[in-house]
Amino acid sequence: MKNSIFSPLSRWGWLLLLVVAATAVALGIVVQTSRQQTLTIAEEQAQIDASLMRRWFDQERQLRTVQAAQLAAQLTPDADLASLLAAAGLDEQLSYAAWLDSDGSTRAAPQTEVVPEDVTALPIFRAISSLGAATEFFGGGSGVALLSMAAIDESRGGGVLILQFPLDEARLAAVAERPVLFLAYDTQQPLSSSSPELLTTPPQLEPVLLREVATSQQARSVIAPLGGSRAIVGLAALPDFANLGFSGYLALVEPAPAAMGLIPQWLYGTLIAASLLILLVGCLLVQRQLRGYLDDYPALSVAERRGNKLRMGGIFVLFLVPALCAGGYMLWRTGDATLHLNTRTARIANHAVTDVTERLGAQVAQFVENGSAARALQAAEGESLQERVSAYQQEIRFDFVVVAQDGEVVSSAITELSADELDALRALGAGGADPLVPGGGALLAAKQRIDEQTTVSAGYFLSGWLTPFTDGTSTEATLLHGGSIDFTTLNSVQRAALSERDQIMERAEERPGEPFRNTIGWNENTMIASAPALGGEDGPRILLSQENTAYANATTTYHAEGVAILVLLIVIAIVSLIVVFTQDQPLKLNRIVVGYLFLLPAIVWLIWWKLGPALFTIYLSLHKWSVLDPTRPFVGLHNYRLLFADERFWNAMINTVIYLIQIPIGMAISLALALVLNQKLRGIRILRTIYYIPAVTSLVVVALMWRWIYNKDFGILNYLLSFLNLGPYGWLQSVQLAMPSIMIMAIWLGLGARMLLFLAGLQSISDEYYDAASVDGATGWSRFRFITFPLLMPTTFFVLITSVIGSFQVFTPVYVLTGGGPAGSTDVAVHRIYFEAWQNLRFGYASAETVVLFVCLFALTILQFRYFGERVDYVR
Amino acid sequence: MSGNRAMLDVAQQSAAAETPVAGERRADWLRVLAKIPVYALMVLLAITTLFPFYYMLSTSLMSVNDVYTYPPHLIPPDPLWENYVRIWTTLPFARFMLNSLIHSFGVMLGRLVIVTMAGYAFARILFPGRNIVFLGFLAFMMIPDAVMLVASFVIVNSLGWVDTYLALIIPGLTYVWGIFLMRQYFMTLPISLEDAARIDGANELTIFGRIFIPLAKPAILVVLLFSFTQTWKAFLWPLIVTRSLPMRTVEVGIALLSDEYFTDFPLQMTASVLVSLPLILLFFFTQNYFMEGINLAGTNK
Repeated sequence: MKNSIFSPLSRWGWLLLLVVAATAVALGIVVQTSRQQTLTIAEEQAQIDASLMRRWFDQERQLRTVQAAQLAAQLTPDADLASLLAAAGLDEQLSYAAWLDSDGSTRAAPQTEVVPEDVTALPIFRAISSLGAATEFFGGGSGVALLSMAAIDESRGGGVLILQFPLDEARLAAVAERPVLFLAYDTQQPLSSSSPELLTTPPQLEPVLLREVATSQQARSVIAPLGGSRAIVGLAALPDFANLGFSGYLALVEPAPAAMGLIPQWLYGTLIAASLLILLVGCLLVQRQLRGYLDDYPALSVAERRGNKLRMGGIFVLFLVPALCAGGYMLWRTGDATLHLNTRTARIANHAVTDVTERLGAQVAQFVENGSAARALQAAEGESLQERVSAYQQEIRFDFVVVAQDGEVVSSAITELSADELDALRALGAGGADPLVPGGGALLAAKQRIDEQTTVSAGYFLSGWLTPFTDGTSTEATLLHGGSIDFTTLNSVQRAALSERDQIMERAEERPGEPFRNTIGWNENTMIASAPALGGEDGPRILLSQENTAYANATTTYHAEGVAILVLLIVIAIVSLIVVFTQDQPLKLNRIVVGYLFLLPAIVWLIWWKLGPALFTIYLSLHKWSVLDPTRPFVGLHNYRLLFADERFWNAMINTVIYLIQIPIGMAISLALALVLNQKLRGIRILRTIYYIPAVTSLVVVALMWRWIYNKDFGILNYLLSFLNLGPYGWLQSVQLAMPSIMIMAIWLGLGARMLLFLAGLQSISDEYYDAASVDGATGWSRFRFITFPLLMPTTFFVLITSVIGSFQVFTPVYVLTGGGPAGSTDVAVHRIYFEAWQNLRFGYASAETVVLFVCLFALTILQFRYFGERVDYVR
Repeated sequence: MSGNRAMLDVAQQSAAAETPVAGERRADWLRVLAKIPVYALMVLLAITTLFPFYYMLSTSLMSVNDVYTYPPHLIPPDPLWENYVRIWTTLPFARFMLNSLIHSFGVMLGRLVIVTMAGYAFARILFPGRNIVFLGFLAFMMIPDAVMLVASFVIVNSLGWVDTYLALIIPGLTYVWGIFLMRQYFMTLPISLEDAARIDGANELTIFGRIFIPLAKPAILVVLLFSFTQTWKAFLWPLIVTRSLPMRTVEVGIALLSDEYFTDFPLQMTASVLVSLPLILLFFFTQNYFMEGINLAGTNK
């Protein structure tokens, strides 16, 4: 024991320390990374939630505007606003309604008496007054509201109708399952919020972040603690507020502990403490056992010794089991959490769609009932029917308005109706509101009879109001009717896959509004929700589906970390077992422990940053992968198929090979110079320093320097050539000259360093060889051919290998000098990879290119090793 | 210290070998004459090597008007030192420099720890599996850096490190060539060193830190120098993992800004001079170690 190399501690104390430390580190990493992963999941979740919320919000605004416009159309100077509101079914929903006459006086405000001054002060208020159009905006100030305004034109007395729909926290929270806050910011100053206490203690949101969210129009994950035990976890900007001078945001709120991790903190703490305690007890047990064992050691038989070792090994395994269970539990919880997220998102999507569907349905029905169209379409002087229809359509914002007068159809629509759709409209009974699904499109329509000859129909295209749910998200919408697909935003492959899965469509038809999981198609689409659609039980169903890969990726990394914990624990187990089984050879044990501990940083690093990325590259090359898009579907060998048909890639590979020509040229020149200079010369030390300078200069500088030398009009090279009556040449602008220019630069760059390497090689050749050769009468060429060259082979080989590997990866000179141009004539492999990955954001494709490059390079290296390896050995 | 001295001895010996012995110095002027073409070649080569640098330097002292003339000036007609002041105000050049320094020193220090430890383990500790692990390490040298590019970036990105110093430093921390070099160096040291220490009761860490590290100073210096120059010169990786202007390293900074200030060649050249100066100065003062590194690289493989 005296000889122990860990003298301050006993061996077993040291071992104990090691195991405990390793476990602590492992668990620390687990906690840290899983927390990070939780945040990643929370981020994606927030993005989906927030984008759905935003879409719901947009729909809501649009709907309110339509309602305001319709109400405004019915208003006359002497109308009773309260009864009109009651007739429209709005009196319950409104927190505020007012009609401002053109003279500025306010009338008929049932809920509140005073028009908020800040509303009338807004520039948009005046704009609406003069335009006579309906518009919507979010109003700040005293409360949070969704305000709609509609102007009543001069012929009906003038004025502006303001409807204020409250948008409180509870209302927003009803849509998502998590509470959603509504925030309005005037650049940095909170203007209003659905949670009034936030105005006095604004959440800690950085102005930079707010600006970024507002400009990018993408949802972000944030962690901003609110008062109490809540935190904002996701933030999405609402569009179109810029002209009002402030921004509106939807903020997702979570209870603060949940915001920090899916698994509660106390559980983490308990797990860590428990694992440590278990390990500690285990170590103590083993130590005691070992001490007794070592005391008895000389007296024990071989069988007893083995039995003892096995017992101790058993104890190790035993107390590692709980730790392994802890890792497994985390894995299990992850899967659970993902499932939960999926169904929850499905519910939100479902809710949003259902909500909008119902509201739109109600609106169409209202159109039929209140007969407002008749008044609106009354002829004004000198106005054609077509013009009136167009004006009406703009006012009420239906997707289309069709007026039929004795068979003559005048329609106004964003998209013109097809003949099929017109037929379906004709078949619709007057006074009826119905979902119509003719042909490929789909629409929600109602028909109203104005007089004996004239009917007016209006409605929405399904595609029109479903796209907000699908644009820019991974959510796709499909309209099912009678077991067939009427409308879908799925692509043709997905659509075909869906058609093949009858049970999905049946289920969507049979159990509307219920989220469920099922996969369709080649890229693992998960069907997550179906919403009841138009016209009750028998009507068409909307099926919302979502690309599952975003979640899959989040949980893959999460799972990977769970697996990493398990691997780590198993490594600890193996190390512990090695320790137990070599404990009667303390020196060997010490060497193992110390040796691998010294190597640990290097091994971990190499696995993480060399082996890992190398394998990960292959994984990436099989996926469609972009940093921006969370969906990263597996595409098999698709990238490689594209690659082999990609002329630009092969052009780059050929250019790379052409670039290699500079190596033998440069090497030959360097070798020749080295041969001449391989003499006892004065001043060689200074010159040696000079020759090496290019090698220590950065490539960017060298390239910038040469770019200036190569300059067509003012460069020194063309100037020197002009003495020979040559040029001027556009060195870097010409397809023929650009690559040779880069090669000349490379030769210049490598000249000194290569020459010095050759010189070192030459000087290591003993004079005895030459003496012996001169006895044999060898001179000049034969001296070089039979002595110098073979003996120089190791150096030559080294220079060649490093040059080839370096040249295959040439990037900087190309990037700085030509940028791959002109016309791709200097586009080399790494530049191509750079371009695909960081300009086109095609990381999967760039990885496939990398793999091909690596295969070429690897084959080359092996070949060179084989070919030169033999000769080198022979010479030695 | 003793390591340094050993290194110096080697240098002096080689210097002695190069100077002609007294006997040969006797005025054999014919032989000197015969060497004139060789000297001419040497000087010509030196001029070829230095001329672009001279041109860079002289351009950096010209005004834009001086540059855009034909025939080009080889000597600045009116040296304009103002460029060297202007560069610090026109570009965030100081920040670039700071970033490069943090990058280079971070990588250098990290490598110092990892490389010496690994080299020591391979050279001085006999543990089972040592040769297999060493071969594995050498195999990693065969994987070129360009292969890691995309995947490393995706990893860095998913860690949220993009545009941070972590992304610059951490992926550059290990240097297999350096491990190889350190191993070779440690192997040349006599075994009696650690035996003596062990008898005195020193543990492994003490032996490593107190005895071997000081002895290995020359090799460590070579590793550090190569690490520093390599990292300072790095371009592609910093280009990828930095996004905002204040995080760019000086190499990336001047390459990107050279497009913006395309017409201002003198300023570009001023930046180039300032960027290459630290490396060239470093090289001048430590060239013996550099040459040692080249020789080791050239002959040990």
